[in-house]
Amino acid sequence: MNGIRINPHLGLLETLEAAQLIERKLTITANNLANVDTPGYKADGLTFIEVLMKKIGPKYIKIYKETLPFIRKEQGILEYTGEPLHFAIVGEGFFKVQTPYGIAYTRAGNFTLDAGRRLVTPEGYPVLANGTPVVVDPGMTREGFITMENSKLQVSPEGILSIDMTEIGRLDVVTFDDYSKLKKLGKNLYISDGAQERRSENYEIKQGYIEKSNVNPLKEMVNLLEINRTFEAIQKSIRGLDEAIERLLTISQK
Amino acid sequence: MIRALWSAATGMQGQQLQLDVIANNLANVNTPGFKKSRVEFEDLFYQNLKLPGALTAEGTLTPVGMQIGLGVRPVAVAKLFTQGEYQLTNQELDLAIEGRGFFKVILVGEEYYTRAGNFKIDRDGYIVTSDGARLYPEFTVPTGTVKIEVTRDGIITALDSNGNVLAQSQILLYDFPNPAGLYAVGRNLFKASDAAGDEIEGVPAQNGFGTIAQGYLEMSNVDVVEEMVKMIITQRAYEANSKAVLTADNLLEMANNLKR
Repeated sequence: MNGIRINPHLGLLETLEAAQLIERKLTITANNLANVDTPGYKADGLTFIEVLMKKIGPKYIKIYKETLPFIRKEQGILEYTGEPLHFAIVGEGFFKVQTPYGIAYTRAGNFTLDAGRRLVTPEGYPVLANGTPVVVDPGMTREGFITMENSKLQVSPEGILSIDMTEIGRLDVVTFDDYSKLKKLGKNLYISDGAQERRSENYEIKQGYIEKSNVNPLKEMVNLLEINRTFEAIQKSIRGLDEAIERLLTISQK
Repeated sequence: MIRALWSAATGMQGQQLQLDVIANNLANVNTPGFKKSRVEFEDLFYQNLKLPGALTAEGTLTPVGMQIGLGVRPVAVAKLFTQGEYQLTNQELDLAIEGRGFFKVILVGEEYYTRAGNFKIDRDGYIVTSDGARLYPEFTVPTGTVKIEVTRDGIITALDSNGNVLAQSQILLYDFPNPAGLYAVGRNLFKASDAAGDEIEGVPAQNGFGTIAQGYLEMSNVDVVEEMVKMIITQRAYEANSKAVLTADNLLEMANNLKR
């Protein structure tokens, strides 16, 4: 028996794998599109890398596709809201927030004050300045004040918070050398997962603005087209393989 | 594929909510004391397909993990308490607050807060809102009053035809640490809530409270152009998400057609 040995599943398995990878890409694209209006959202991307796999079977060498996800760091556009408690970071860095999951990081600057006058995210997580939650107390700088316009709270481009020219703290704006370790937590939050934070240098805080999502709908639409066509090609090749195997089986029956 | 369908569906739902909010803002473009709302979105949770540091087929460690997001979630519809524009009405009971604070009114024994200062006088002489809610502290306009004067620090005076003072009182303002946490009940009224914090009572023009302008109305802070732009964005975002649903559907169909 020196005939050609064919593993009839070989091609099928590879196309199946390709189909699964495409599905993953679609999920990421759909998630990006769903977050087209989420403040501070950074689009996810996916690249494929080829890995040579040797260890299955004695002679079996095949190219194995690995997916390599990445987060697009590009700056999102700024939306003017006029609300003095909305801050946007232009440049590198994240706001630090205190959450039940520990310290988390966010670029979404749609902050508000809670019942205790702390500066918080819409989820109610305190924003940190000098490592402690920011408390906006009207009486802090002017004797007898029990309330005040939010616009009295000023933030400098470096993130120094002040009321009536009196400094009350400096927002912790931090960045990471290794962005790839950052993990998305949902709720517009990232956790560092072992990455070392350091104070960011290249940034500017804009008051009254929100950084919008950096999802580019055009790019995602093109992705959708590509996904659709790639999947079609995969389907065609599975059909072709199916037909080839069918013919092989008919020949062998004769 | 199912994941993509649901992710895109959350996107469509979110944009739908956004449109509801925009429509309500636009409907209230001429409502005195109305404060516009905005929807705050956040990304939904992530599914971890592969953790960073997992072993690859080659025996090396993966430098990055594999996380797939599962869509979007509206976290809040926040009221923006920016100042509305002032409209000169010359009505002596139209009071606008310039700065922080709310009027407190009592309606059927319940306390409410409002910035809509278009007050009237009811048949018993009380100062009331258009819905008949009494201004607190109560002020009765005596019979024979021909003129009512309100100073910028909130002293309300009823004068007769000879300029004699018939009654005088102090209008108080109320504020909260987090007005955005107030509970909007409609009819231009807000109710206190735990999220808004404890009520702060104060005298206009003192301790950080705003001043009162007689003969003016604070109009809605809705900006029509802004809402229109938002509406365009919302429509397009909705459309983009529907395309993602369509693509997922196409893929599913193709997968179903694999088997002849």
